Amino acid sequence: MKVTRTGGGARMLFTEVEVETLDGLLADLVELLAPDALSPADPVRERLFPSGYSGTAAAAENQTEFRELTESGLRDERVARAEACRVDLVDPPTRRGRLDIELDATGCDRWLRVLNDLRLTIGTRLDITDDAGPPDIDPSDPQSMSYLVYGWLSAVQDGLVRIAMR
Amino acid sequence: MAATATPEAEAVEEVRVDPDRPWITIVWNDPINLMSYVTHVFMTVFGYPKGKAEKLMMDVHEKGRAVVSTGTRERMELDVETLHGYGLWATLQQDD
Repeated sequence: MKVTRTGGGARMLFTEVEVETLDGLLADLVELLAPDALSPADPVRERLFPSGYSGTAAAAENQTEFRELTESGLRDERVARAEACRVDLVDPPTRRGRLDIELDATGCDRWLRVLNDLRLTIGTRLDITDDAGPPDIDPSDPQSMSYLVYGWLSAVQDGLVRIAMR
Repeated sequence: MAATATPEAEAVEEVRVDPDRPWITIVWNDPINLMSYVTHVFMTVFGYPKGKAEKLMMDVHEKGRAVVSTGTRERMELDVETLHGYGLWATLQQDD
């Protein structure tokens, strides 16, 4: 994986396996975002669609009203960007032996946000609660693959955000 | 019995809703969002210069929260919704 700056945006250079993995993760995300796929108590749902109010304003009616007002819109927005990113991954050209995903500024923003949606979902499932990040990975841990994927997604996102900030 | 009675003084309930008290949007620390990404979001959503965005991000990181915008309740609801769209953990409340 390599992320580099271009004139108007960025390019991500991936191996075939990386593109396949990413496409699979995005497909899973779209599935997860289907209405009723996540139970109301699921921590992933609470992380993707957090409560809107805090302090003395955190009354149940305010929370419910905010959720009713925003959740379906946020859900549609997330599905739309995941699907648009999947389109970016279809038959990309090859550049120096890697698959070349070239992004304009809009594409950069879309990818930054979709990578964040993936990291929020996977990170919440891994119960990452420490700012220091995941612990040393034990290959016998059944979650070791998720930790690797999480770390990889973090690296791609960090590469893109540094380019987007200029 | 007097035909007219002096109405009893109505019990005035003290309500602590001050329409002039502004609403605020708070971003809370979370262990998943990257520091660089949070800075980028503050620059993109609010148009803050990099220095201000970085300071707010550090406040979130070190103090656990930062007030990122102030205004009407409707405006803050919009800010919170936008920040949720970027995956940040944000809430609104009335300023104490």
